[in-house]
Amino acid sequence: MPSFGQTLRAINDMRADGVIEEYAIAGAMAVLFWTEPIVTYDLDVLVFLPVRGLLVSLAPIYEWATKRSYRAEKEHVIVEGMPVHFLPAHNELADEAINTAVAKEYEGVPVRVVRPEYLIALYLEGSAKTPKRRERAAALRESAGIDHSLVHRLMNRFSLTF
Amino acid sequence: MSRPRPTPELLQRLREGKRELHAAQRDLPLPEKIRQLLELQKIAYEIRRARGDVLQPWEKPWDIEP
Repeated sequence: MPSFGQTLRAINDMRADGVIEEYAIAGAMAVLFWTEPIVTYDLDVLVFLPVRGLLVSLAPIYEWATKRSYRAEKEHVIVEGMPVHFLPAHNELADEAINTAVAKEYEGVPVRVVRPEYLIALYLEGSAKTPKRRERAAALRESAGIDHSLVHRLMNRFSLTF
Repeated sequence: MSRPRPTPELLQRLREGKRELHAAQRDLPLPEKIRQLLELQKIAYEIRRARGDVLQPWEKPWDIEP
């Protein structure tokens, strides 16, 4: 049976193969690294794609997945049994979230995880802000170890509100 | 006759207990958190299915090991 560690290993392989330049786990699975688990059915992965022209294309990701016999389901790729949602960095906040991600380990597999302060900011982005995401941001804000001054600075810089 | 209410001390103790529980959950090893997530997925999936929610094909419990 596949495992979470195998999914992470596959994502690391993707970077080693040059399909993505860098990545960081985001969304509810990233929350799990910082606080209590919450229900989710997919793994969000923020990525920098190699620059190949002016348009952003996920085609190289799907080609890589096909070579490894990972099937696609709508916008997800099923990597070792887990639906993975690859999200190309869409703005400066996402760029920073990837660049400042923390190197962690899961069962001996290295993994980069978006810092909780950036997760809060990403949850509060205008177009993505839903009641559920606001609630997750609030829960993260209350968890221990949060750098509140960084959250404050991010919210100011990116004009975010709760 | 008015209903007896818990004392502020009792309420505080209950809240502290809840805070401690959340802190313990937060500090669990990652594989244990994944195991809990897999259980939560099964519970949430059954509730949503019984409620008649429209689920995306990928919105189902993962068939993986922690």
